[in-house]
Amino acid sequence: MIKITNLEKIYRTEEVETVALNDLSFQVKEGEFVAVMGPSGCGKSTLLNILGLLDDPDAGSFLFNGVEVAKFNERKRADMRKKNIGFVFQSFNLIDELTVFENVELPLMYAGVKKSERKARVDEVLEKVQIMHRRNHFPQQLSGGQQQRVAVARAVVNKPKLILADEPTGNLDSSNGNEVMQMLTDLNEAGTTIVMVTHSEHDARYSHRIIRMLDGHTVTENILV
Amino acid sequence: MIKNYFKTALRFFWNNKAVTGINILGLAIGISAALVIFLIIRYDYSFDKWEPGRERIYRVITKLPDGSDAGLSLMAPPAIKAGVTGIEAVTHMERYAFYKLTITVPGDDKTPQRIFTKNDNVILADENYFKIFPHQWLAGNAQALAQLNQTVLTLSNAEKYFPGNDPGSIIGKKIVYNDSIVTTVGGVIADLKEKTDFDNRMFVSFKTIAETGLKKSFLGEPNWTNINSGTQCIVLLKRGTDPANIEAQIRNLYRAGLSGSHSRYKGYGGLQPLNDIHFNTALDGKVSKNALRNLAVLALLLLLLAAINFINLSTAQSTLRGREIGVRKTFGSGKKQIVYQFLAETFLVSLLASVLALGFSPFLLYAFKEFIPKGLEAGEILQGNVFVFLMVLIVVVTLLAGLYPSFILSRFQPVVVLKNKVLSSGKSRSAVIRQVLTVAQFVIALIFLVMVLVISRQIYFILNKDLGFKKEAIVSVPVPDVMLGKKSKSGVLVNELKSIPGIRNVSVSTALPTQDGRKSGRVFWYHKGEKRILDDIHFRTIDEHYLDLFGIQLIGGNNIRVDTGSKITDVLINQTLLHQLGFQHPENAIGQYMKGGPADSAQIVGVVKDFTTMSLHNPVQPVLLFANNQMFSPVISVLLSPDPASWKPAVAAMEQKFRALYPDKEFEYSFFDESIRSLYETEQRIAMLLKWAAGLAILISCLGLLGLVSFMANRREKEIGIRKVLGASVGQIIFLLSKSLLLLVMIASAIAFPVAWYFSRKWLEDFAFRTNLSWWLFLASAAGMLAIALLVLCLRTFRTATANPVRALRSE
Repeated sequence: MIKITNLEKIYRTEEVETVALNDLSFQVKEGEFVAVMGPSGCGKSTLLNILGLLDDPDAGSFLFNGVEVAKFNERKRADMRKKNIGFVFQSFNLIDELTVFENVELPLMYAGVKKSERKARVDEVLEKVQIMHRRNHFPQQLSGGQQQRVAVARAVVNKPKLILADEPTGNLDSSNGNEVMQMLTDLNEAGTTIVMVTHSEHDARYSHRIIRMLDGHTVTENILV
Repeated sequence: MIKNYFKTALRFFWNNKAVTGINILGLAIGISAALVIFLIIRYDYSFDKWEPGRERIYRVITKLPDGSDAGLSLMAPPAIKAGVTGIEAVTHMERYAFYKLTITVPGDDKTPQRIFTKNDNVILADENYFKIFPHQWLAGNAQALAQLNQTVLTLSNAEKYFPGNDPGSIIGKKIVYNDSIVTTVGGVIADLKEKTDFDNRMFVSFKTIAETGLKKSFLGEPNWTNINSGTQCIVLLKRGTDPANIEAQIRNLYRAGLSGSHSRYKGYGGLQPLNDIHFNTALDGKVSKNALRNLAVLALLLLLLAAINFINLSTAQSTLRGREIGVRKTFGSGKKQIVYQFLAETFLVSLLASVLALGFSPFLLYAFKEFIPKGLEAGEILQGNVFVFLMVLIVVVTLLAGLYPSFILSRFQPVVVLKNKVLSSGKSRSAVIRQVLTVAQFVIALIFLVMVLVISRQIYFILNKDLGFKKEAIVSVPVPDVMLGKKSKSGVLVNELKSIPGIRNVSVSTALPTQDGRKSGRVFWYHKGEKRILDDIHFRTIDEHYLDLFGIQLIGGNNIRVDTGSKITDVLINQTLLHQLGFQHPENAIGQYMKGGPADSAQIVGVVKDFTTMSLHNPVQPVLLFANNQMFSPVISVLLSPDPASWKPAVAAMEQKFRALYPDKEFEYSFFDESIRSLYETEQRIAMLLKWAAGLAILISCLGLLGLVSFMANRREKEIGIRKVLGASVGQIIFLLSKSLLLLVMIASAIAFPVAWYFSRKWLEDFAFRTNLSWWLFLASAAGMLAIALLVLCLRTFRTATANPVRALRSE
């Protein structure tokens, strides 16, 4: 599903040049659950942003389902994103002004799904993450674990082929964290490809494969399954 | 999707009430000012839109080498009727034929005779009037005006003069004008509902005057060079006729009429389109298009100020929206959708502001009442096209205020904003634009403020300048007849008034020292056997008490004498005329002979110190003060005792004496200082309007400032907490938060002053006597603006500066 080759990303300011990704190459097959680990500043988040088409690389190739997307313009990236990719963030990133239902509904609205179908799909996914009873609450009224469940629901409501999770349990206690990891595992078992960035060895053990990064490139790969 | 935009917007507003409130209030003020100004402009543009074929209607006016006059020679209308082709209808009317008109409705067996002294909008007109200005006939018809001694009146006047009678039964009843012209009612028309500058409500058939012995006394001697502003001639051109062709024919008529004895006269007839009549103030128009344009600019500026607030606060607040935009983009939103979302949000703010503006408008109409035409009422706000205008305004404001912030917001990169990276540092481009816009706001507000100070100072200057005469405690009373010496009614009245306690002096003259308009003409000076022509000399006919009553100083010779029995009239001149005659010393001028004005022969007996005869827009004019000869419509001036408490009983006693002599006439009086003040009504209205504009501009700008400083204070809460923990004082924190905004106000002053100086100077150029553009006016404006800004800033920064730092630090 994902094939990146010799990927490079350099951040420049007036005085400093920081190499975030350095000649990075790897593949992720459809249905895989991959964890990316490494110390802070090793380029994990940059990688995730490029995989999520939120950022573009300076050099190298990025094939998504066989299509070269590295040089896509913003409109094409947005289109590709909304059809194929779901995101789960460490800080949940729910919109404060929208209710649980409306937050989860958002990707469907941008995808142009009809209202009746939207309602059915949102309710279904809210049921799945067991937050249905809170559907009319605002994010500030929920606990961290509940907010992350809503975020997961939002990530999967559009049935994406790929879910990118950026430290999904980073802001949660262990019990809520385990719940979220179980949810991701269930999704993966249902066929969704997952790439997760994490600092947690415990969380990484839920994946099939761990890619360890240092200074912008992979150092080891551990296959767990 | 739209529903989602509005829902998000409403919830965002709710969570950010203060900033939203500031945005809505600022825009509401701007929109209500625009709405009121729209009502004024619409009102003025709605005049005379009802006449059929109005694009073919023209008024014949007199074009003179130095301008035009709305009036005509009496010779012109009949000549046009007889000699111009291509005209469908011509009407000749006289607007001011009846001076101080008294109308008598004779009594019968059942009702007593009734006398009316307040009668307005009465004209002489011929039957063609109604061909050009058609009215609905309730009884009779237009042919009444083709006959002698006929009156046509509107229904409201019919009800006034013949209460309880239906229109049909009034036909044939008698109406008497000024005790002398007996007419019969020949028609009753419905009152006009449409707005018009031809608001005539009572029509006396033209023939009644023009074809009888009354002609000479009412209309004077017809002459091609004599222009009477009451003489009006309106023409309806035939379809397809070129007005230039008609103008050429009229010019030929003038040429033929003026050939021979009037060869030096340069006036001729021209056409003024109907749609120019309301706006041509050089003639008798009510309001100039320029003035309306200035009002429109004012409305735009106020709207711009409010839009700037919105832009500034929206872009400043963008940090709060960053995450939302990041999420929306991550989950599939395109740039365009973000732009639409924020335009929808701005639309909502504008819509709410417009609703509030509708509520403000009646108050603003009241505040602007001096500027608002009398026929314009608050109810007009509820008319359909006002809502159309409001909708257009909402769209304009939405685009003006919403486009820039929405582009800024739509440019956010999710990868940046979702990581909570700094979006709105003080050095970002939108922050610089915010500073530029804030400076622009204060530039506009400061220009208004300086102009208000300059105009107010000039008004103070002109109202307090020594004009060369006294103006306090002087009352003038127009006398409704011709003064024919001391035994005439007016002469008797003068003597009667002198006996009233509290009256110090009484004088009779044709005009007060200063008055509205010009009273001037040509005189001849006989010097060393030569007859010299002096043009545009200002006349007053006065009695021997005039100088004393008005405190006009005699600097040479003697006061005038009246009733000397001599054929040579005494005359006084002022210093300006003395110098114009080429003399330096009064004694050189005394004894010189003059001819002109009211005197066939006059001799200079004295010289008075210069005084102003017109508003201070004009320099001091050369003046001739003739001794009391015959005066047409004289004015009695009365000097009251200086104690204002004695004025009311004195005026009441004057009225009693007046009524005893003129039982059918209205007693009118005015205080001289108030009449002088009224010469500057335009300036006072402009000052009032600018005060409002400055006030609103400052209010809107300060609202913006308040919003910005609130935002800054919130954003720097943690920093301020740390500074306080490290020992910063309240004053230091207030200074920290305020200094950058105060600097902007100072930059605005530097930009505003040259502009304000330029406009002030241009405005003052219109006055012959003017105040200086002192540096302190500018300094006071800047200081005032800084003080207001500081106060606004302190309102918010004080709260932050005195807050417990533990709270700010704990919230992290």
